[in-house]
Amino acid sequence: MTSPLLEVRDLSCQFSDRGRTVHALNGVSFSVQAGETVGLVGESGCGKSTLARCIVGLLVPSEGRLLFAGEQYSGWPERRLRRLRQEVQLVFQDPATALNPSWTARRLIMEPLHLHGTPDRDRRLAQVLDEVELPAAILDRRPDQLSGGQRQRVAIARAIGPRPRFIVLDEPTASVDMSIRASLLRLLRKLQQEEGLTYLFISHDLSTVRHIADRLLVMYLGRVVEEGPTESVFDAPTHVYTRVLLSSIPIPDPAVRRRRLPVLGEPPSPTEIPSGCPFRPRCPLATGECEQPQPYLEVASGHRAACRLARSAVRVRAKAGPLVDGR
Amino acid sequence: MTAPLAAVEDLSVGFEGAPRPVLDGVSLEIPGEGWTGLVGESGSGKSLTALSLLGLLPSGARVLGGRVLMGGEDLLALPPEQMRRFRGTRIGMIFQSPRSALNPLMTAGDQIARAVRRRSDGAHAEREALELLRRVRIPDPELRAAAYPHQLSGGMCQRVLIAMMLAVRPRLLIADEPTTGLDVTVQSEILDLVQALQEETGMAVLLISHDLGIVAEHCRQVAVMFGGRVVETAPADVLFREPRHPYTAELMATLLRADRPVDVALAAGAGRAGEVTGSGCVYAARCHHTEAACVAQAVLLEAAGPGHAVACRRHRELTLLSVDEKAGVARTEVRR
Repeated sequence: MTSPLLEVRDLSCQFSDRGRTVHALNGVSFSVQAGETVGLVGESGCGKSTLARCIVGLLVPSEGRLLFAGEQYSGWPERRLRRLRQEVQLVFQDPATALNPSWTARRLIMEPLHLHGTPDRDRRLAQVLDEVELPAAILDRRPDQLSGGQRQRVAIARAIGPRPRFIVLDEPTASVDMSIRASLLRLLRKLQQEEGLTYLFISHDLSTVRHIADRLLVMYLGRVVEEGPTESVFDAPTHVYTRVLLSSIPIPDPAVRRRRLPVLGEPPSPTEIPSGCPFRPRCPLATGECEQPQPYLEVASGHRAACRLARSAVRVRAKAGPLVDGR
Repeated sequence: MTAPLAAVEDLSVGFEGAPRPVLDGVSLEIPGEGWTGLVGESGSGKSLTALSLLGLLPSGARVLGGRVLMGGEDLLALPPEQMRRFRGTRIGMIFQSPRSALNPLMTAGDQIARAVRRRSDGAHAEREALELLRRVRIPDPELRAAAYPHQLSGGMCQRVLIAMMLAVRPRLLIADEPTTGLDVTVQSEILDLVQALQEETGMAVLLISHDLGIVAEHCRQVAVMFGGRVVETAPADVLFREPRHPYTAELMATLLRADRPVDVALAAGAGRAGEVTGSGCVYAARCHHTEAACVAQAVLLEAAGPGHAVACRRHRELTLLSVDEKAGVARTEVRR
């Protein structure tokens, strides 16, 4: 088997905030194969954006390793990282603030081409514009003269310009209307097919993720608590947090009444990480067992979860043969 | 049918220098009890419609025609002082950014106590404020009562506002994107609280949202806005199953739902981009079914069934596929 395009190994990242230590990432490990779209979901403060910034080298992790195409790049000096960024691009959540407001779309899209020494830049510019389905007329406009959807397309054009292999998309559709969201998702999928791109798609919107991701990572308090093929996770969520999250999504269909799992209390603060399972204080099904660290167990092919319920799911499977959902 | 609690009648609002009105003959009825949904994309005029109900049109906005009726009075004609009283007692509102709706210089407890005093003599306002904080399930209410808005999370600020609404018990609560920006688990809890408040007081809720998921879950009647007009209004189950306006159909086709692995949205895609021109249909430039007459002739809301009205000349002849037919998937209950 070929080595994954991106490997994240035991990544931790801490900050100091007004005398307190924020544990943004606490031992995150996963890998992304070339050509796939991995969805990363979790609520605000779970470390999604910190992880995105570590991956593209905008933040230096406190511990752990990052590998791109089998080569370790965490710890590289800035000059070397610049070469990596041609291959690994980031699209930010809100293009209204991520794009320089005084630059025209032309300059915004050209900048990364200059930075990475892309040959034949004018041709590449025209090509990229065509790929993101923007008319040439927008090239002389500034971000505030563009619609939300157009701005995000400019941001995507900036990212794909230098022909990267891997793009981290941090909530790329959070700030646009529904119809625009659908057309952006279609565009991202088309680009992936045409350019052979690999995506890490970060979102708190599980409906969107279900439609774009091949595999899913669920983060809670700086840890991946469950991962697996998207359909497997949606069909048989194992970690109680994943179940809570999935049961909280409103379904746009008046004929459907969902049964929700309640959580206890407010979302946690990353300054105080509980021992054992991080979700334990809010979990409606927690027992004394959860005070111990939970092993990351495979409950189905490629589907793993770190929850005491994963253990019973595995036990049941061992007895009964095929996986039985632990509900 | 009983008379509505409030009604927007043929309301048009324009901004100085703008080529066309931002609200263009909007009519909307809010029944006395239960949830009414108002959906549409940004810039469609849904928030402005809500603000007109509150008499809070932004500066520069001019009412070009129409009325906003509640309790037999035209709210747009009320003197400011009277309108303020109306807002404090009969119409309440919760917003998208709850922190900015709170006074940053007052503690949460004091703000709720002030709302309590609007309703009663307020002898025990502080104690009542604590009780209300408890009822909106804020942990450590004593601690939070003494906290300022910046010391509370977005979800907690929204709970504080709901506690104020519990104190005021308005007849109509306008909830403008009340959970946008909140995490899904918090969103569910906030909406549950509003639901409990609604059931307890029997008030009417006008929910403005671009999230059709929460609209489907809570609203009985839904109005769809586009380009400053109401293009369709229908009972929720009818609207989601058999949209009759091409824009509503587009909305339904771009829905992503988490309970099924279907791919309708990405296949169907969005309508074309286009500017609104002329007196005809506001959706004509984006519609796949436009004819010359759609652009040339004015379109009015026409009855299409019980509680169902559509502003499309061709609504009787067009067959707009529902989401289900496109997906070819049987409707099933979610089990989770």
